Amino acid sequence: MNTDKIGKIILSQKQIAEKIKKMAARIEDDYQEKNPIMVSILKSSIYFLSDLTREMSISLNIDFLGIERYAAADNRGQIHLEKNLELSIDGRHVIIVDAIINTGLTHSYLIKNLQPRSPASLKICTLIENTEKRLVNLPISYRGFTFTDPDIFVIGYGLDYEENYRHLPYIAEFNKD
Amino acid sequence: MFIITVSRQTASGGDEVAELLAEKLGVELISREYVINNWLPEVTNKHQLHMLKESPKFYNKQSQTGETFAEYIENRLKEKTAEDSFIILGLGSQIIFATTPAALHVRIIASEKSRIQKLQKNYGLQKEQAERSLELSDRKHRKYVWRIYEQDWSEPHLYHLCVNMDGFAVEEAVNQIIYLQEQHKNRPGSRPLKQTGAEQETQDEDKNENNRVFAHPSEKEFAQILNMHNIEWEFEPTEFPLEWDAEGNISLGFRPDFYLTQHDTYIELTTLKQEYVTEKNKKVRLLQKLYPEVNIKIVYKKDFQSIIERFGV
Repeated sequence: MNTDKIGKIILSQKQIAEKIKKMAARIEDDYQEKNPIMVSILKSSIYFLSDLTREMSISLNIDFLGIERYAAADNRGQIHLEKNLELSIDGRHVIIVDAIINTGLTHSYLIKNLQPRSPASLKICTLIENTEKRLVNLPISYRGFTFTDPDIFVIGYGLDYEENYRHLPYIAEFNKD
Repeated sequence: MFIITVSRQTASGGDEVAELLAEKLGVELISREYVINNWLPEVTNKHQLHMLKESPKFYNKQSQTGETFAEYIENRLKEKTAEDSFIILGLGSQIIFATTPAALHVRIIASEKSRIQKLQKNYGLQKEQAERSLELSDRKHRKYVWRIYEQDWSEPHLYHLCVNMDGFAVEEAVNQIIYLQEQHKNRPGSRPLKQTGAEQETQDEDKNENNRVFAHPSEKEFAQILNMHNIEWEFEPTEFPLEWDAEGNISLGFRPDFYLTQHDTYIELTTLKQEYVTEKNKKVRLLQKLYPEVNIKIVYKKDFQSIIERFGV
């Protein structure tokens, strides 16, 4: 791992932990007796999901979704679920959990994929939302931090650059140059 | 010699009526565009010409001939019409030639509903956007005549004939105007109309329905990424009027590249040179000011590269 590329720390471990406690409390309030399914998007949300759910004492289930992008025979881009849900979400309250939402294209795709499975409700929870990069509207009900810099690229706490830096306990700016 | 002046509400069909009249009668059409391109450059510098394109108020400023710009246009119109027959579209000509015996003054109107529908059709606007555009454009039309001649352009006594275009084809309206003009051809100073016998040409625009022809490879790539995410889109479906000239005609429009139908969001890609980006930013700011309910996102070159890096294959 090239540590020279790790830039300024944007969110410290403490800041993240404090924010997650508050988010967990809000979700708990909203989902009492609802037994929600927390759906984590692999791989960026693994730390967020685990810290968030461990702050919650309500009954809940956890499941994972993996997305793969590939080139089809005609060289057109395709996207599909590499790892599908193991649980049925029919009639269940679902919360999609992710570490960051930028353009929202992926999450828009996921909503389209999950909505026909007839969940009782479908909401999004993200630790970070970059409003300046957003292209599509999404039902984000829980957000931890809002970034407004369209050029910022962050790593750590599940977020990677070419699969590196995910394990950093904080979120830092990545020096691409 | 005869003059037919045509005053029109925005999107009423008045422009088309004036054009077909000129064509059928075989005479020249003098419009604001004609004046700006042919007459005003003789007496203006670049700044003045720009201001005249934008502001009704500026027509009361003095030109280098010593007259105001409005007076200059009025005198040129009078000189020109002394020699031959003309159709004059706008320019306050119904007031300039109010007492000219050989002049027929026509006003073209249409219901708000049909004008809104026309704007929606021609520019791909949503109903609320078309309503807003109409309001702004009508205001400018009214302001031009009021500022220069202190007259309300909608006053019926300014016109011999007022044609409501609702349910009326352009040619029907034109035939009625020509008939009326014929009845008055024996007025002092007038002479028989020159009929060209030109066949009516279809007024339908030659639309290219192939909306999927992209002007730039980045648009194609972006469309592929939207397809990849099952996001429904339309390519350049809407042109938003952004600026109106001093007479209320649309002088600047903006057609964002994509419309994401389910997200009710327009996307403009700016992957070109910086000078174009600045121009596009200006247009987007204007659009947001005039149509605050419209969601529009700009994808800059850097954002686009980042999207391609992440989603491109």
